[in-house]
Amino acid sequence: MYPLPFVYKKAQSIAEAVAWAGDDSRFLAGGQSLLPMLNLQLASVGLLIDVNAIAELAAIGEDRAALSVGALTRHDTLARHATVRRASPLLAEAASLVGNPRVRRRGTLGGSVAQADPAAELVTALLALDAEIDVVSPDGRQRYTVPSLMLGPLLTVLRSQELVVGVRVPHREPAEGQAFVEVARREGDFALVAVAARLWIRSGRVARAAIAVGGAAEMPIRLADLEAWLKGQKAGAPLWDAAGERVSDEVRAVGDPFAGAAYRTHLSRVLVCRALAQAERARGAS
Amino acid sequence: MAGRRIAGGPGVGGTTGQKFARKDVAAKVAGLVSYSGDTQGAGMLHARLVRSLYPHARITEIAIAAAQALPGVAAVLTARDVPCNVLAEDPSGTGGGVFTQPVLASTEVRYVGEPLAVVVAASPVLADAAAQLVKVTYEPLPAVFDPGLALADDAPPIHPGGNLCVQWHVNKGNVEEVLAQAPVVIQREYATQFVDHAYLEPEAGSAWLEADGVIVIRAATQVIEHYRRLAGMLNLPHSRVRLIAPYVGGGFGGKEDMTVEPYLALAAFHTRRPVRMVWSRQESLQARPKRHPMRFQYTVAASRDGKLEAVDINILADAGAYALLTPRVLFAAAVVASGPYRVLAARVVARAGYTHNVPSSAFRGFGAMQAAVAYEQIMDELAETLGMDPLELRRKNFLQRGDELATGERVETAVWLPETLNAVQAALGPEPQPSRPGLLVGRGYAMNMQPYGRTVWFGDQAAVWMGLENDGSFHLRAGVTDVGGGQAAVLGQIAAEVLGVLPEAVTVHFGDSALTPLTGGTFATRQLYMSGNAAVRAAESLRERIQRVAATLCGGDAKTVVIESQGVRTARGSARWHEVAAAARQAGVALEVLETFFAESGPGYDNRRGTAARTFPDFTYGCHGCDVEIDPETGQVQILQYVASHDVGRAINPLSVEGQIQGGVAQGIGYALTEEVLFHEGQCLNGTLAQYLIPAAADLPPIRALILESGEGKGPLNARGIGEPAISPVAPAVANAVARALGGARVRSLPITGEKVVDTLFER
Amino acid sequence: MTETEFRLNGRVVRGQMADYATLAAYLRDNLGHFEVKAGCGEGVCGACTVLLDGEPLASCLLLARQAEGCTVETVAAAADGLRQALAEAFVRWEAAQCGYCTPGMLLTAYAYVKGGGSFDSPSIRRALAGNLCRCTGYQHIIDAIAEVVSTWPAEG
Repeated sequence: MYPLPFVYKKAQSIAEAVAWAGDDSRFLAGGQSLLPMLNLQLASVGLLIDVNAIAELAAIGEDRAALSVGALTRHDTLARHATVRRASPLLAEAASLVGNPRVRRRGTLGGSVAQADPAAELVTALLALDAEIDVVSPDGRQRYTVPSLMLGPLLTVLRSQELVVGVRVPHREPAEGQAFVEVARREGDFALVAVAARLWIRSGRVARAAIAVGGAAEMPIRLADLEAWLKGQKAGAPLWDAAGERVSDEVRAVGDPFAGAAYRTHLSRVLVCRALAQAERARGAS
Repeated sequence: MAGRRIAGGPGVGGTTGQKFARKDVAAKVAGLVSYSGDTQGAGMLHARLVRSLYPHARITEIAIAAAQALPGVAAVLTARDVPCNVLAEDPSGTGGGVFTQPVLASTEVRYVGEPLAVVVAASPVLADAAAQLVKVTYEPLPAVFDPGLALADDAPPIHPGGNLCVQWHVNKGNVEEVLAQAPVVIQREYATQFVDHAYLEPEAGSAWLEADGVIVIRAATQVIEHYRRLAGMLNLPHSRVRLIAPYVGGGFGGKEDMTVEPYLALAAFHTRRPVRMVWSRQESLQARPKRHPMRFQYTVAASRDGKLEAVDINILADAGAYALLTPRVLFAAAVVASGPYRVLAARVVARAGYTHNVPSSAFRGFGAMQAAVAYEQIMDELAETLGMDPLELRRKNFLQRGDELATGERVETAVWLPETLNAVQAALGPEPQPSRPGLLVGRGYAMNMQPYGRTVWFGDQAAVWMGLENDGSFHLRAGVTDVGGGQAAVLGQIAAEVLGVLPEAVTVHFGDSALTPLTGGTFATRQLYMSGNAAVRAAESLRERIQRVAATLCGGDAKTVVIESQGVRTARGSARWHEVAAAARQAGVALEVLETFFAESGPGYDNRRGTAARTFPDFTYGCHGCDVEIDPETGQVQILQYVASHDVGRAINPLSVEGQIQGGVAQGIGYALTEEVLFHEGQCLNGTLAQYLIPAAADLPPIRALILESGEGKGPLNARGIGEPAISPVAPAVANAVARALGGARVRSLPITGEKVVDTLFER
Repeated sequence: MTETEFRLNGRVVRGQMADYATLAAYLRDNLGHFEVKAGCGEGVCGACTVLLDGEPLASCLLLARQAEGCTVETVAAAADGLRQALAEAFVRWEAAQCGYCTPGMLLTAYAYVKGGGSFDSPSIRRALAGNLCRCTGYQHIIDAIAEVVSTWPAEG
């Protein structure tokens, strides 16, 4: 099986990569989604720009405000990296659930963001984390969030000259607990539904909550109404159960051949409830 | 975790019954085996199919000029280039119906993916490009995708003879009468789905023309005897087409019907150059035959104390667009539909309707497996109705030697149902406990009987040639195709056992329709039974000749001659192999033999009365059991442990038997829980391995194989077939465990997805 | 077509490679390394697994040109002691039936054991999650790997 022919170029710098890019080009990072689509001839491209050699894209660092993760960071690195695990355990956990070990060694954070699969673990995690996504194009640097970036399933606002270079994720705060849970048809598959939750509890009450649901709808969604409703309420199992009951008000689940909308709504309810309980337990853990 | 042998065989020495490493495994581990697609020579052309985009359409034009004009394109072949564009077969073997199918469709297409043209070009990339340039003009026609609807009066006709592909009857006693008087009657419906063989090796092969005009096709096939059909297609004498099957990268029935063979033969025939064809996974999932989806309506009557009295069974299968092996598959389902149980009265009507879906055909388990999904679930449901333990109910009704099946034939060999059940019960140990609060656990069992060998009216036969070299090494030639089960290696092992030499002394040459004696294909769990028996005969016959020569050479009684690695020995003396060879030459005794094994044969099936003196040569019996844990909130089912036991008559190579059982269980678990090829109006919705979910290592529990040996099979050294039996009871065992865990709520259609579990619990 | 060079099984390979050729396609169709199997073209089945700089990778999801300057190993590479031990265990356990998944499976197992993988079956199962086998039910494969892990001397 061969892809439809294209030209391949390997960029040594971000500037070079974006300078080469044009209407008929794609950036090649881990290739775990793009190459299957090219191999199966579900997509075609004129120019493939390999960004794997650009060292600065693979850096992981932090400052006082946030953890910054280079777009070329492999899922496996994300899942194991000590700094990531401390600063953003939710992100590390989500990365550990992507694909199989081979995919995790090769696939990248930036690639996952640019691919914008509605069921992608990392996109759902980034949405809950209020992550900022840095993009470079010939016009300069742009900063997006998941909602401002994603337009629909496998669809983003990114033009073919725009390269995702990194992601900034706020540090987990001391009062904050994080959790990532999912249900997949088979271990390592895209989630049928995935839920990322962050929970701040002060004096036994919910001070703040951030909840993202992936896989259920055409894009990962934030449950803003539920987050607002939770605020100020007494933390604990009864609240998480009650929160689960409200999930269907916000999740507009979409069915596909693998799972119907009603089941996806149901899973969203179950997983939100579980994620909140798990986030509560994870508070203070480091 | 290794399987364990429970009972020893007669113990005649040699390697039989020992854990014995197959020679082909070493070559495979080293990456040395050349499979059918592993060829690339200078000047080799690449062929690609143009397939129908519609499930049912009239073809008004196939425009090939643009494709032909593309530089590097050697040929674009359509129906008019096929000398005889009809493949005809009588799959039931009873003369009841001859079914035809075009090699390349020209006027009408009946399923999405039906081949229309073969493009042959200098590279795969060019072949792809040329295929894109073939413009087919379709006039879409009304299509039907449900066999029930296809059999309704107003359905669009799919074939001139109507939409009923086959209808089988099995009748015993007066079902109406027994049902009317029975104290307990239950009725249930079960459904199974389309699944794909999903072997790792795609459909692949190459073909070329020899200088003497023989067309050679080297392809991944289970049946080299297809060479006759290929010759018929090309209007050539049978002797001018040669089909070679190297080691096949998995078959499971999916390479039993022809896949790439006719298109390769055509391409080589027309271009006179070597050609390669490899199907993509998408082609395979969309357009290669699938396992029959079946719908079962079971009515079962029993006494209050749990004696089965009558079964009334309706089976409806989706044949898809062409018959292929549907009549045979449905027959197997009909014969075992009442399971390995005694029944006073039985009525089975098994029908298959044509649809505009992809054709259904052979898949390991072959109809008998789908029937087990129904008969083993309804046993649990009947037990629940009766308030009985489901195993007690089964024990009460187990078939025994001497009993009459629903078809009226008698069971002659050992029926080790209690033995296999006991073994599984013991191995499963204490009842499972939930790993955390809120989870549900359950244990389920399923028994099965699975035929091995072809139905007796086929008059099945297999031939094996053996010869001795003057250095003491042996050739064994047999036309078997080796699909991974060690079908070739085991023949060498059997022959070595009979001759009393080490297996290394016997080299097996296999899978060549021109150079190896024909054995018939590797299907119907027939290969060990047929070729194995032929190998026993060939080895016995050769041994007898060697002994005769040795006795004259060394003195003594021929029967007492011992064969050793260096030569022969009697009580009076010994001789080396080259001396034996010389003596044989002098005496005019050829140290080479060809022996043919003829299976038990008998009259055809009486479908009007629904009875037979005999259907299949014999059956393999077994029991599977497993524990499941279910998250009732998400519906996810996890299998905690799995135990499978079969009476294999005699385990010639226990490692291979274990492997067959473990592999069958894994495939069965996919069938039970995750696998379904989804079609919408004939279009495949999950045509990649990322979407069609066969089990990965992490999805499976430890699988223990318990091998029992009654010593009563009809295969060589009293072995029974195990290829298909291993997969058949899996889905009902899992389904019964799930129903147990759910407190009796039951998902009656496969696969048992999380969504269905949640829905079923919700309905309750 | 661009001149590309990498090390394959200890030898330098230099040649004109089509930009769009995957490593799997190049190894098979241009170099005749048919021990690299092609099963799905989408990186799911793992039959085309090779070691790229020691790490298992689906060679259908890497362009041949991306291997520039790398070390590529297939199952045909000269085996070190561990690879040999694994191959022998696979044979002893009959961990292959049709054998089509076996080269990829063996390389994944090799990287797993070399990387200090544990002998417990759940860990082995997770490590093999990207290598599909349709014949064996994985049991003998896991048995073989577990046996090697528990007998092979740990490195370092």
